[in-house]
Amino acid sequence: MEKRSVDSRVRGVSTGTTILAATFDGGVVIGSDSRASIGGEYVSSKTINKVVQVHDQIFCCMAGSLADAQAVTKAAKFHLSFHSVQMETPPLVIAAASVLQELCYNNKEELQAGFITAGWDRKKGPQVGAGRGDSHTGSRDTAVQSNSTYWRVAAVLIPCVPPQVYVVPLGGMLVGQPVTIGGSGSTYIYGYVDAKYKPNMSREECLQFATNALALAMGRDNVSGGVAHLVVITETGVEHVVVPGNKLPKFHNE
Amino acid sequence: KMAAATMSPYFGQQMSSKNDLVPAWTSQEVSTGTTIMALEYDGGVVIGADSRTTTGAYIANRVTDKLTPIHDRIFCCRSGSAADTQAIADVVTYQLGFHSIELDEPPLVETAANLFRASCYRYREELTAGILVAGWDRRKGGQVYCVPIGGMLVRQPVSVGGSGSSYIYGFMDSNYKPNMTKDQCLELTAAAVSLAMERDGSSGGVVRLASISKDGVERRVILGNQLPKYSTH
Repeated sequence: MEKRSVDSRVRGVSTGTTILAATFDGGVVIGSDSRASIGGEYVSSKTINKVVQVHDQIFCCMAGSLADAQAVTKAAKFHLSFHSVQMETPPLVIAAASVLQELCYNNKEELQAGFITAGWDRKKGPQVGAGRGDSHTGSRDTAVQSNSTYWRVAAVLIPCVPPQVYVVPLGGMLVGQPVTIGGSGSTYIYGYVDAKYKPNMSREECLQFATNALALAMGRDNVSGGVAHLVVITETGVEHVVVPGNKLPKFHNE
Repeated sequence: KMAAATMSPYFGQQMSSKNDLVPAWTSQEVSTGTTIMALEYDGGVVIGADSRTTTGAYIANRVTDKLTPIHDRIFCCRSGSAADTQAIADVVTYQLGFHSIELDEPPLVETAANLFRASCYRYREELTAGILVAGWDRRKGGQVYCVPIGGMLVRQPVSVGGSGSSYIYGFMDSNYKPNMTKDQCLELTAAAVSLAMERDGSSGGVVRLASISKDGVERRVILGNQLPKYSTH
């Protein structure tokens, strides 16, 4: 992540980070590296945490200018807590992502920040009628249209929204996907993620997948590095996992 | 530690065309923005490439052969400017053929790689060429040499190049293991090139593969509809 100011009219500047989020059967994993650099030459922080909590069970990863990202997440946290008080219910993940989107889109000239949002939410109250029998959709379109799914428990239908991951890149688009990666280090792991990600993995498989992906990106991108910060969000709660540099998986050329 | 210089993405983006009646791509240089790959195995090498050549947004050739023979058991994979790489390959083919006749022996892969390096380094300001040289010789068996833009020369057991290569570094690092068999190498190359083709706009078409060993060269093509599919998201 760059701390110096960048001409805001320059678009498409790759930023020094690797962030990702992936859904698995029962939750999401969201993670990032921990390096903040200045101009790609100096590491200003080795242990920065780019995974930010915006609500009890909703987290965001930031990429881009550290100053811009922190300002936006602070504003988003405020908006979300106000929203949840008004609605008298925890906000939906898509609400969190929309708040970020609005901030990024309306200020797109000044900002240089992109985000990944992930979390868990549950809609209250039974809904009869349309819904999907499978517990996970895994397709890009349905994740955006906050689809409801149902778990049949005896004769009662309990609706809940499956875990989702949203990406709000530079410019302020909003897209929901089962897995998404971002930051400068992400270019090196597109192939790995495309090949290795499968919907409905177990929690351990997904954690291993995320750790491997971060380690591979950090191994090739000079502005990503340090430790791997991972957060696992499920219905029951939130768990932080930190993998220090020397415990990261090693590959054949190391 | 293996050092791998990254190929710069494709270039030649002259944004202003002479007038609006003529599309932009008529004035843009032909580029093999591409994905190329070469791996060593015990007994030979496997090389692979996509098949797209672009002039700006137009695909000038969708069935390009970027795997160019330099000698009986030595090939090169070309990325960068199509003109530059074709010219360099022609020069090296001539130089190597002459050298081999003088020696009265099949040439070494290292010799071919050095000839590429000599041209690419001497004319580094004028050229845009990223080349992988791969082949088999009696002295060292299967070898892969990487000659990226700028004219460095380094031997690596596995090397990727071209604009699409950035997307598969992670895949290659995690899936390549030393001492794979020829068939495992072919499968890995086909998978990696397909993944890159799906993400890189300058790579596409078919996957061309070749394996080179002491017994000769085997070439094959994997068509678009036969490629492994990865788009679940």
